[in-house]
Amino acid sequence: MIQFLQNLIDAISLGSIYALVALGIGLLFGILRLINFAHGDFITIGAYALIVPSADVTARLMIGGWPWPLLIPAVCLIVVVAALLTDALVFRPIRRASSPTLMIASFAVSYIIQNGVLMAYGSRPKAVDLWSGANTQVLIGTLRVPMLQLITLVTTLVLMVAISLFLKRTSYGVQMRAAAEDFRMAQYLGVRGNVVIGIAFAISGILAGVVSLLYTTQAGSLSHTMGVPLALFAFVAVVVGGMGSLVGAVVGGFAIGMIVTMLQAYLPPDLRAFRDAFAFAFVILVLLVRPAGLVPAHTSFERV
Amino acid sequence: MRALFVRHQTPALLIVLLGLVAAATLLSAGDTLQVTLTEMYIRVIVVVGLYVFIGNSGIISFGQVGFMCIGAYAAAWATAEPNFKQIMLAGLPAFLQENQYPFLLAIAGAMLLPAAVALLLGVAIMRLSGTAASIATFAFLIIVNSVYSNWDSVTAGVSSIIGIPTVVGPWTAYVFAAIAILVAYAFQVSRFGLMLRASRDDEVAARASAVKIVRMRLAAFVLSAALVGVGGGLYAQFLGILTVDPFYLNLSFITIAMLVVGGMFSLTGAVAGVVVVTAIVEGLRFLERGLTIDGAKYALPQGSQEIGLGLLMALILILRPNGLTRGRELAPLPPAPAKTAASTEAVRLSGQSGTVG
Amino acid sequence: MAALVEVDGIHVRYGDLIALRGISLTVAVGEIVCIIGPNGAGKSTTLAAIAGGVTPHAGDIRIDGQSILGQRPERIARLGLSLVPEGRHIFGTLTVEENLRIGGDIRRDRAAAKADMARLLELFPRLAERLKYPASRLSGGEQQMLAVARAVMTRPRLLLVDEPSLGLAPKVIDQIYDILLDLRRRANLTLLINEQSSNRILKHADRIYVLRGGRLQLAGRAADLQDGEAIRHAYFGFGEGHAARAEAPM
Repeated sequence: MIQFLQNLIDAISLGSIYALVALGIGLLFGILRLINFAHGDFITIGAYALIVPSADVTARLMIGGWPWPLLIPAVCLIVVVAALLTDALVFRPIRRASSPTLMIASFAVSYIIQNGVLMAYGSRPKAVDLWSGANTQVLIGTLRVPMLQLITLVTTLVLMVAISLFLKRTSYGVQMRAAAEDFRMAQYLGVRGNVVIGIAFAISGILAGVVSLLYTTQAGSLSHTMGVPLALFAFVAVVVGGMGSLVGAVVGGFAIGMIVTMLQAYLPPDLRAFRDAFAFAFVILVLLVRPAGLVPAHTSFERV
Repeated sequence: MRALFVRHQTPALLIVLLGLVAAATLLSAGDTLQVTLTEMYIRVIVVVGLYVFIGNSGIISFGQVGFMCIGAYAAAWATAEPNFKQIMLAGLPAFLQENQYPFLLAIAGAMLLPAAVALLLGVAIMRLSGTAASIATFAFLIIVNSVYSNWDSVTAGVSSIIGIPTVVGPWTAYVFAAIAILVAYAFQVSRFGLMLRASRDDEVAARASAVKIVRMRLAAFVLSAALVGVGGGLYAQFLGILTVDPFYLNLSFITIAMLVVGGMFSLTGAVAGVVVVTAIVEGLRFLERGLTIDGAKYALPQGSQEIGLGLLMALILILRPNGLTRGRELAPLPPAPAKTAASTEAVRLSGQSGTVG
Repeated sequence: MAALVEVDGIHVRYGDLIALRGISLTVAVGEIVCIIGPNGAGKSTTLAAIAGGVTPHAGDIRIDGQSILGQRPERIARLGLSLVPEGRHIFGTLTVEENLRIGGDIRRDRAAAKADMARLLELFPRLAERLKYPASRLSGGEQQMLAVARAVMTRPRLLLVDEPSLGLAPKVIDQIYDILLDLRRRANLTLLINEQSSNRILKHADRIYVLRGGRLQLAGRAADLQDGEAIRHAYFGFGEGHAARAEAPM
């Protein structure tokens, strides 16, 4: 029982990370109809911003050595700038393009960022120790929960509440929801398309920045493809949760986290290496049954 | 005879031109570019395979390289030395372990196994919307990579399968490339192809005739996997050594880039894209090695190839989203003058086009 | 009377499909101008072009004498134009109140916007009752009222209304028109309205344009066209080539 609860907490913690990534992706999809393949690479940028650019195996901390109140905003700022730049340079010129074109463009951005990081930092994974206290265990009842997992959970909750409030209570938030539903009509009413899109990229960037910190603290190492599995699980979470629905993205994130953790815990040892394969097979199963996702967006079917 | 050539001039011209490229390259550079040439023809097969699905259905598949991996390993299982297989790949069924099969049989396996997998996967995901299906194909790529990297007893995991007979050179690859072009062409002018293209641009209309579209997409998906698989099989028997690494994100990107640069919606685009991008990448590679002028060495930094390709792709998407061929087919020859069915068809075929919305 | 909007020989194309061929029209301040025509005539495209939703590849559109060709809809909205599109396009996932607020967001004077919302809710009591409902739950007629109210929230000088009567019951259509005319009086609104059927609007319009097949077939003062004969000709295309072109618009 204890073991199961531990696994559950692991699942929720992993699910939080996927939910945050999925939220970043879902936000851009809702407003722009863009599946941002480069989102994982935004996370990579945030992580690599922590160290000094070099091909050395042992990384020296750059921003990573700053105190937390400076570190967190700095990383988020860098990722936000990167996100806004990619929008301005690549996505804005192809605003009116079809979905496949947008997808491929984001794939190109992803490729460029990955190889750019590769060029600047070399191909060997780098060890980074952001916070050695991350794994001190906190006692909750009879459960031992690593500090980092608690922080992940709390951070996720705080961010989700913040975004929710932003979307519901602020005028920009309402404009974003309107633009996500009917971009052209929002424009006719004076909603500034580029501003709303910029805000979406910015929020997406902040989410990516936070994830990069959480993930790097946990994994302890960086590689130029570190964002790929995160993004992939998140895409799948968005699809499973229901494309175009933010709630769906979050639900999907937790669902994927649950599936992956449970498979990790309960698959027989010789099949563990195929955990990811099983996870995706399960996902395809879900899609067979509910192609619109678990929490479909309630606007017209053309969204998907 | 001439009427036949004109009527189907697109594939005919493409095949002839590709042959000329080979002749020209071999004449001018001799043996040094044989490897590049062979690889290029294999890429033609793969990208044409990609085109059969993406160009006709309008759905981007990021996972076709997974089928290339399956095909490559299928060929390797057939043709590697039995001694090697019995030690390293003990998980293979006996008939594979103990025997070494001829080239064509290996290619047949490289065609059929990916096609079978595509059939199973396609039944599941062809019903999804374009975007969701694309994500599913991306997941498929990762699954194949994960499975093949870890199933040590069958694929040697992260180490290599060696000793595959290297029977594939530029001319073999060329012949298969020509076949691939003909097959792709036959599909796109068939009823399946035409109906699929008609539904491609309007997903709502496609939904209205749901059942048929799914079946046609599935046909395109399976055919695509078969072609790409053959490419993989040839690749294995060209390199002689096989690992899982190449069949992942980089190659996926390169092949998609080739298709996009050439033009996603035309066969000419697929072929042209491979040739153009190969030329550019070779050029960048040469510049990375560097030139010595007056004793000083000028070289592009490592990794310029990749970034250059990425930038090229982004530029094409922004400036010429339909690719260099603008989605049109190569058809410069005027149709035969007679007012027969043949000439009207030639006009219809040469005017084939598609657009990116 | 000053021209508020001048459309000057615009040609609009959707891919290979030519939607408008050389359309010219003007709307002066304070007028009610109506565009009539059958389905597919190009009425919606004309309004969309004025509002900035599509860009003509030839010709010009001027507002207050300045060309707005190629400008984004949100900029044109800030010049005082508001579009109530065909099919309403209300934001179904937002509440009625949020729909109205979006219209008001463009205004710099938040207090005035709030006051306007209060006044509009008096004018549209049904909307006031359903203020917190998601807009998708409103009936067709209520949605049309919401679309109009929302557009008016931007304090436009010119209201572009695309087929306000489409899909609505006659009584509801009457209400909508009453409100439009009322708003015109109160807020000094200029109106440019698309309709398929001319009956109702002939009573109120100052001038009429008839479109068919993407071309202007007839332009004239409503007063001169009361018997409907010329309109019928232009609308149905009898006597192609004898298309009646009445006096040039002001």
